[in-house]
Amino acid sequence: MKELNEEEFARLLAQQLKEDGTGTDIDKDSVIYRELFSVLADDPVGLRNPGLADAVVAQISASEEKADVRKYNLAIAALLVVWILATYFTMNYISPSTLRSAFDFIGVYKWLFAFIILSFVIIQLADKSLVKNKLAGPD
Amino acid sequence: MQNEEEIIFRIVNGDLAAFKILVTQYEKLVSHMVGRLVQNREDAQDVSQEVFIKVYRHLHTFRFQSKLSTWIAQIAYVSAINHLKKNSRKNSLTDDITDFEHCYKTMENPETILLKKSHSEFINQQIALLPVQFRTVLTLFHLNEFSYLEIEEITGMPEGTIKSYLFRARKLLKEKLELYIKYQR
Repeated sequence: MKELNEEEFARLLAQQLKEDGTGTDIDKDSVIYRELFSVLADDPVGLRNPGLADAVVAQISASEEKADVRKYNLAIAALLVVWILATYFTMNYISPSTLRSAFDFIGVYKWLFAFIILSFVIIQLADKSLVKNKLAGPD
Repeated sequence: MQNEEEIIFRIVNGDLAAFKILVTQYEKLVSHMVGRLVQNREDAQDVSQEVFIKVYRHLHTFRFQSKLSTWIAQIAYVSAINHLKKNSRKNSLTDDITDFEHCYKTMENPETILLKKSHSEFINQQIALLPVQFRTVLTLFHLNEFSYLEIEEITGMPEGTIKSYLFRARKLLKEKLELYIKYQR
């Protein structure tokens, strides 16, 4: 709210009356202008927007979470594409024997690969299903 | 109390708690600005949220060449004007102000005026009837305490135009208030 002091008010009023050109009835006009300036500087109740800060922060958090999910999905999709392309090129341009040796390698370390895949799946499931707790404290 | 630069630094680094402080600090400015321009309450709330989201997304581009309040008010002004342009069938931004001034003087009869409860309520209702340009300068100057130069920076209107709009808006409101007081007696 803009609280006009006497000096500011006098300046604005003088300016308004001068520009208005109807300064003959200065007393009457000054009362009305004083009232008008006071109302114009008042905080209008109807324009308040309670809960705006919370709403904005909630909206930003939600959109950031969505962006993270989108990035993650894109990374998985990119990995899949790379894997498919690598398989395609290996089969067609390198040699079936190289591909076979790659699969043999996986066969030798199958438990290690199974462990990696299982860990990945468990981490993803836990991330989705567990509730994130935040310690209460001053922001 | 933390200084503005520190809060901005924290926000740019993704600190939402710091951003909440900033929103609390400037929500009055944005609500006044948007509320006076976009008169539908629900739309005004949506536009206010949109303004702060833009502030959050673009705060890293703020170079401290102006006051943060001026920068935020500029975003609020542009967002509100864009919203009005989208709904321009209802709110014409290109209305002839001279024609408006003529119509405005005869817009309400004394009986209707007397139904209003207080000077404040009456004036606020009269402000809502003014053209966007008048509402903008009145709000920025009287309610948000911006100087002519800052209003020029926010709206892009030349200083002379701002002064002229302020003068004409005050004159129209003064005439309405005068009439209102006359009928009250």
